[in-house]
Parts: sequence; C-alpha cells; structure tokens
Amino acid sequence: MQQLFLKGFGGDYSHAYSKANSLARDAIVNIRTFTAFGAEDRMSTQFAYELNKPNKQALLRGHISGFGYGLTQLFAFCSYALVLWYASILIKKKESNFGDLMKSVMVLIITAIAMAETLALTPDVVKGTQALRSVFSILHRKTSINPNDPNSKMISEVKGEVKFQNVCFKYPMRPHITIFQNLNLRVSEGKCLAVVGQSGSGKSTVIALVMRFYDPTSGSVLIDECDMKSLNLRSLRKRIGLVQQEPALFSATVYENIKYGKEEATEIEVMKAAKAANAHEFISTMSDGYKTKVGERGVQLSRGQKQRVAIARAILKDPSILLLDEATSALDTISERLVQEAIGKLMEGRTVILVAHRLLTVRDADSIAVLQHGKVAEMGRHEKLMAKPGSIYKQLVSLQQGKCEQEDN
Amino acid sequence: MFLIYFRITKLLYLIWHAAILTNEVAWFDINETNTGSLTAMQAADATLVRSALADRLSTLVQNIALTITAFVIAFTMSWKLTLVAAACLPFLIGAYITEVNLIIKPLH
Repeated sequence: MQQLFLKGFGGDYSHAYSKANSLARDAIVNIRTFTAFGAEDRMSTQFAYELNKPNKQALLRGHISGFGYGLTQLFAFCSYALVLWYASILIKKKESNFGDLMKSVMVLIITAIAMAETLALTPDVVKGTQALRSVFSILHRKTSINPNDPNSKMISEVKGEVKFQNVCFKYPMRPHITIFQNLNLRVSEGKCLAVVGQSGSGKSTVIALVMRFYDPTSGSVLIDECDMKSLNLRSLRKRIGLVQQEPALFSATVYENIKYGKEEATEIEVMKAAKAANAHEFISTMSDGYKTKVGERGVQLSRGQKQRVAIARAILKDPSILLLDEATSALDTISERLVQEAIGKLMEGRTVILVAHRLLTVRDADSIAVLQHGKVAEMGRHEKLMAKPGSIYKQLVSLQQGKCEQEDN
Repeated sequence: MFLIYFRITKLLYLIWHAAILTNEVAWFDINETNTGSLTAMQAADATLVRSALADRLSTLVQNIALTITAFVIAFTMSWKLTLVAAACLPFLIGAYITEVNLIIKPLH
C-alpha cells in the first residue's frame, strides 16, 4: 500500500520526461555538431534542468492528490465510525443483537464498493458506445452500387455486346481530373477490341466501368443493348471474366484458387481448365500438385505461373465477356509464350476487351481504339492505323519500339 | 460471461465484414485506399464494443443485483442501522473512486 501510494501520486512520469528525452535524443543524433562546438557541458546543464522540471510537477501533483485522498479516506472512516457507534447504541438499547448488526454493516460496505465500481465504469461505457456508433455508421451505410439490388433484372445469358454511350467519368477521389468526356465505344458479340493509349488515358478505367466498379458520371454502359444499371450486378458479373495485370491469388491451394472461378466446379473441370491454361504441367510437377499452397498473394509461384492460374480461373468461369488487363512488363520468353497461348485459348468465342500496355499483342485484335484526352481518337485494325499518316497509334508504336531497343542495349 | 464475449465478437466481425464487402469500389478509394486502417479500425472497434458490452454490462448487471439484495438483507436485519449506513454511502463511494483514480489508474 505504501508503495502504491508513492508511485501513484508521482503522476504520469513518461509524459513529464518526454522533453528531457527528446533533448537527449537530439544530443546523440547531432553528436558531431555538439562536439564541434564543444557544447557538451552546456548540453549536460540543460539536460539536468529539464530533468528537474518533472520533479517540481510531481511535488505539486503529489500534494494535491495526497490531500484529496486523505480527505476522502477521512470521510470514509468517519462513516464507518458513525455506523459502528450507532450499532453499539442499538445494542445498548437492546433493539437488535450483535450478529444481525454486523451482518448488515458488512453487506452495506460491500454494496458501497460495488456501486463505486459501477460508477467508475461509466467512462468506459461511454467509450464503448462511441465505438458502437462508429460500427453502426458502417453497418447502416447504403452502398451506391448494390450488387444484389432487388429491383434489378436477373440475367442468365449474355450475348456479349458492350457499348459505351456518351460516357463521362471522373474518379470520385479525384473529381478535378476528367477521365472520359463523351466516350463512345462499341464491341460486337464475339469480337476483340484492344484499347491502347498513353498511361493515364483511362485504359484500365474502361475495364472498371464494364465491371461496374464505378458508375459513369453521365452516359451509360450498355450490355446487349441494356443499361447496366438496370441489370442485377451479381448475375451479370458471373458472365464477365477479368484477368488483371497482377493476378490476385488468395492464400489457399492452387485447386481452391482456380475454383474461385466457379464455385460448383468439379475436380475434372478444374483440371481441364488448368490444362487449357497451360498450367497443368507446372502444377503437376510441384510436390503437392493441386494441393500446393500458393502462399500469401501467391508468393510461392512465379509471375508467369500466377498468370496462368488466373487464366485457368477465367476459363473455368466461362464468361461471355472477357476483360483482359495486360501485364505492363514482359515475362521471360518461354513463359510469355505459354501465357499468350493460354490467353489465345481463353479468348476464343468470347467478346474481349483487351487493355494493352505493350502494343505487340494487339495486332490480331478485330479493332483497336486509341484513347486520348478522354475520347476515342482513332479506331481501326492494326494495318489501317499503321498506314494512316501521322496517326497517334503509329507514334505510340514507334515510341515503344524505341524504349524496347533502349532496354535491349 | 465468456459466452457473451465470444458471441458478440463473432457476430460483430461477421456483420461488419458483410457490410464492408457490399460497398462499391469507390468507397474503398475514399477510405484513404488503405485496407490496413480499415481492418485496424475493425479490430479496435470490436475490442471496444466487446469491452463495453460484454465486460462492463455484465459487471453492471451483477452490481445492480448485488445492491438490491444487500439492501433487502440489511433492512430485514436492522432497518435503523441501514438508514444511517445508507446516508453514509456517498462518502464511501467517493473514497473508493478517488482511490481508483489517484492510486490504481496512474500505475497502469
């Protein structure tokens, strides 16, 4: 008790010493400057002065709280004295016996402690209610894009026509940067559209809008001549496949990762998808085969392998519309070939929107849309765009070829 | 008490997670795009709510029941003494609270 008393009344030591601490840290970090100026002694004096400050503070605090503590304890013990004295009077008058009185005194003392404990809890309860409020603010928030809106139309089949109609778009986080200004774009069923443009021209945003990660500020995205907003998003997303730049794998087994494409898929279907994606071979050579854990974010696999697993996932999903966000940097030649082959198989018979960062891969696309300043600047097949004098596409190609040659050197 | 503790935590995490996942992608951008702070917030809130609801409320209920029973017993034993002692209760409570705030809390 004595020790508690002394320590408790010292107050918050760590806070009081913070200034002295920062001074000491300064001195050590800037030791060269201090020695160069020969300021060691001056530093020590100042440090001693800072150390004294909390002492004074503690003295004052100790006196005040000690006095308060003493006073309240005085009241408490006086109360005990009063109760016990009154009990003795009652005994003297033979109004009650000693046993009963002792029992009621003890019971009441315990009650006092319980009540005090309850009162002392109030700040914690208030804090807890604040936390509850913060939790409920998240729980009650209405999402502006509800994936399972009850008023929307469920769809089971998608033919695969995608159309952007006068789409304007800005990212909610960066409202002053216009990404699209009246963008019009159309991919017919089963065709492949490549989207190219300089970085920041909104290539990847095209994919985000088709996935309906965001809603356009104005205009609309139509799927099979139907505004996306009127369709049930969850059922629609089942028919759209997405292969991202850096494929996201979950820390689970390879098998489970592929199965994300289609929950009800059988083992045979998973294996078939993996074979089509050129992934079966490398999976089989791993010690645990399909049961191999890929590690957090797939660290156990190389980039090419991860991409092939992601492609297998998309093949398993068998979407009508495929969105490909091509990797920005090249893989080594062998895995590049394997991945390209797998992508080729994946693209067969689907509507494809390919966002190309490297222009080598877009040559076979049915049409190429060049984005600039939020609009489609040029559109057409590779040969047509290359033949056009002074086209932006040609500039982009020559720019990239120059870069490649530089890298090769 | 432990049962409440675990059930509340589980329920809280479940509904919180479900609510977060239905939000549109833009919402995640607005929340400073750092998933770290979001999960940290979740953990902190869950702990606070848990301590407020499970721990504190159970103590509260216990103490209220204890107070009522104690008064009933004390009054039946000796109502006169109980009246005197009840008048002294504020002092005893005050003494206990100062003890907690001045001595026990600064140590933690």
